[in-house]
Amino acid sequence: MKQILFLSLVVFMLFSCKKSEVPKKISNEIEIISLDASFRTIKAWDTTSITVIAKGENLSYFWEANHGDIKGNGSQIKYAAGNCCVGLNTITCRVFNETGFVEDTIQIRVKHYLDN
Amino acid sequence: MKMRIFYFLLFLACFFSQEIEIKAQCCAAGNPLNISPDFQRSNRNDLKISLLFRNSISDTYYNENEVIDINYVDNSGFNYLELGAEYGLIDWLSLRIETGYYLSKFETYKNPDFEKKNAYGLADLNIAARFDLYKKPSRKLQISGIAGIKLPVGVFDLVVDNIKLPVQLQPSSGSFRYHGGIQINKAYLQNKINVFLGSSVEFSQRIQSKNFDYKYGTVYMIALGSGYKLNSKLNFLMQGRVEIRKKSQRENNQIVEASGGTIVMAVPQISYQAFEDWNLSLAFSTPIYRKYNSIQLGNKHSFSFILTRNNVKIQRKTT
Repeated sequence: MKQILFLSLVVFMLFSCKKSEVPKKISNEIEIISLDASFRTIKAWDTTSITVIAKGENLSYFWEANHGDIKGNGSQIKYAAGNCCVGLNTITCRVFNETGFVEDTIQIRVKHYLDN
Repeated sequence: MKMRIFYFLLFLACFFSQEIEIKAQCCAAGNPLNISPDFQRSNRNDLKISLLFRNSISDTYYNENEVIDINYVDNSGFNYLELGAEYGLIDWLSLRIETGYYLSKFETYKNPDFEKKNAYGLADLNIAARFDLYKKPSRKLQISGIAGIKLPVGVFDLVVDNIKLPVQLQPSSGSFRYHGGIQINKAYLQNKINVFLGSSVEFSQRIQSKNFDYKYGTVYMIALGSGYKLNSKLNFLMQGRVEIRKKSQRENNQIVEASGGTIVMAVPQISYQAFEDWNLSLAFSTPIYRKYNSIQLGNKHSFSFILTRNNVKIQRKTT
C-alpha cells in the first residue's frame, strides 16, 4: 500500500514537470532593438499589443507578466489584465536562440474597470 | 528496505527537480479548500486513505454582490484530484498528508481571438496534524484541532508555447501557507444525528522574487452543519460555510482591491458505506450569498467525489 502511495506521488510529480525552453546564459549574438506597446495605459480587461523587434538568427520569444494575461505568442503578443491587476505591471520578453537569451521589460498601467 | 530507500530517493529527486521559481501574477491559486467534514480521526496505527475528485466552474463576474457584464473570461474551472493519507501516530494524534493534481485548470474567453488556456500539474502538498482536544464518548462529544502547512511543491512556472501562464492557472499557489482549525462534533439519538461546527484560518507567506512580490489574503472559514443517518449505510449531510478572504497585497504593500470577499455556501453531501471500511461521498457546493471586493469572477458551483478507505491496519515493529 505504501509503495502504491509513493509511486502515485512520484508519477504525479513527473507528469507535472513542464519547463521553459529558454537557455540560462546571456547571448552576445542577439540584440533587442525595441520593445513597445500600442497602449501603455489600459482599462481592466482591455488589451494592448506588445511588439519586440530583435536582431539575431533563429529567434524565439518567451513572455511573462508579473500580473495579467498574455495572449498569442511570437514577436507580437496581446496583454490584458483584470481588476485584480490594477497598477503598474511589468511584462518581460526574452528573445533566445541556441546561443542564449537577452531580455527586456515594458511596463503597462492597468486602471480600474469603472474608472473613466 | 532497499525498495523503500529507492522510493524515497525517487521522491526527493522529483521534489527538488521542481525548481520552484517564485514568479507569477495576481489573483488566486493553489489547492481548493476542503469542503467535506471528516469526523473520524484515524486511530492509533490505523491508516486512512482518500481519493478526492473535484470539478469547479466559474462563469460570471460580480461587482461586490451584483452581476456585471465583463467581456473577457467566458468560463473558468478545474478538474482536481487529491490523494490523502492519514495515520494515527498515538491515541490522540494523527498525521495527514494530501497531495493534489490538477487534471485541467482552464479559462476560455469571449474574444474569439484568444485561445483557450489549459494547465495541469501538481498542486501544493498539505501536511497536517489532527489531535483530540476533548473527547467524551459517553456524551458523544468530541472537540478536535488541526494544524498544518501547505508546501508549494507543485508547478508554479507552467509555460505553454513560450508564454508563462497567469497565476490563476498555475497549479501551485507558489506560497507556503499555514493553517489551523477546530472542529466540534456532537451526536444525538444513538448517533443518528451528528451536529458539527468547524472553523479554520489560513495564512500565506509572502512570495518575493526578482519579478514577483505577492501575499495572498488570509482566509477564515466557519462551517455549521448536520448529518443524518438515513440507514446503516447511507448518510446525508448539510452544511453552511462562510469563507472570508482578506485582500491580497502586491509589491510595496499595495493592497489588491479586487481580491478577497465573503462567500456563504450551501454544501449538501451524501455518503454511502459501500463495504465495511469503504466510503463513497458526493458533495455539491454552491454560493448562496457573496460579496466580493470590487469586480471578480465568481464561482458558480463545485462538485466533489470522495472515496475513502478507513482502518488500514499498519503493524509497527516493536523492540
